[in-house]
Amino acid sequence: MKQKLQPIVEPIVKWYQKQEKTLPWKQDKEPYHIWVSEIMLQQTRIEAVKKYYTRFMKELPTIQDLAVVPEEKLLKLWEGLGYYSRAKNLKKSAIQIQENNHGKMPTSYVELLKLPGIGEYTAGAIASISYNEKVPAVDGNVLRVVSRVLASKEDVLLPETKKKITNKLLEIMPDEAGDFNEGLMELGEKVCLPNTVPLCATCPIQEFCMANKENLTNEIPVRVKKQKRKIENKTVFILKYKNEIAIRKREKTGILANLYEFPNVIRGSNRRGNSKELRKMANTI
Amino acid sequence: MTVYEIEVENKNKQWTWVTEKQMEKEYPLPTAFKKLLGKTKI
Ligand code: SF4
Repeated sequence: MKQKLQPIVEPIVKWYQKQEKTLPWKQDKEPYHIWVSEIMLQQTRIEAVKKYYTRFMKELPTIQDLAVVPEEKLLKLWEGLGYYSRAKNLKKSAIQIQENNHGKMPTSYVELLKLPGIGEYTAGAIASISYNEKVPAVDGNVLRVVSRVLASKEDVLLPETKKKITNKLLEIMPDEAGDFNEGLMELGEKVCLPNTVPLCATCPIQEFCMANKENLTNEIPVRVKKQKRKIENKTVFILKYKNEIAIRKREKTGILANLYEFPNVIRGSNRRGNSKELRKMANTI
Repeated sequence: MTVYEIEVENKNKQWTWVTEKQMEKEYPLPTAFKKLLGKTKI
């Protein structure tokens, strides 16, 4: 697969380097800034994060400030962002950094992963953006772009798919690892759009994209949602005649097809249940 | 799920009538139904 992804590296890096960087957390590559912004962005839209990020950095400009902030103030700064465990983990990590690393952010992917609340994606983003470590940072945008480039119909919601894509990217990481990762993410955000027609005509990697060539952009990425469990409330009859019991065969199709079951009716949603069906059943007894 | 266990006086032909032993050997029943035997609420 290496050959297939290799050609996208250079165009993506170049494209990203030309993009305007107006977001407050894109003004430098300070790991503390990347870290806080990535954590805020995990469950929240970019637009909403902007003002939270700016205020957070004004109040807690360093890891030292974060490590000693009273919890109440921290939660107030996070108020409205939701998922408060993110804020608590930030503080826990800051304390850990103070105690074990003299207040300096760890500089490698592996060390970053040891901090509370930092998973593979965040560790990859900080390590590559701040230190140019050649590790991927695979989020939903990256999964979509890579699946489309490869015209892969593997389910992007499966951890195995994410792992495969991570491994493929690992093989092609360039020296400009941060720009490549950020480029992939930004391409997903601005060009290779989800749930609508991607802007292939303006895409810097169009000529290498299999989904574009094969007209598959609306089918990829594949996301197989787990079916919700359907719970049926039934009234079941165990009809006995001497030592025999009444059973019946289920339908030829559908769930548990062709198996046997005791006669039963699905209860209606009202309190009296499915009275018509029940009456029918009573007539057979 | 509500389960009624009823002794009937006639075998209605609409159903297949089997002994528990036959059922065990020849008629595949989903586990949820199998569990009901002997565990009725009423
Ligand atoms: S060509 Fe289209 S589908 Fe392919 S990566 Fe670019 S925007 Fe996405």
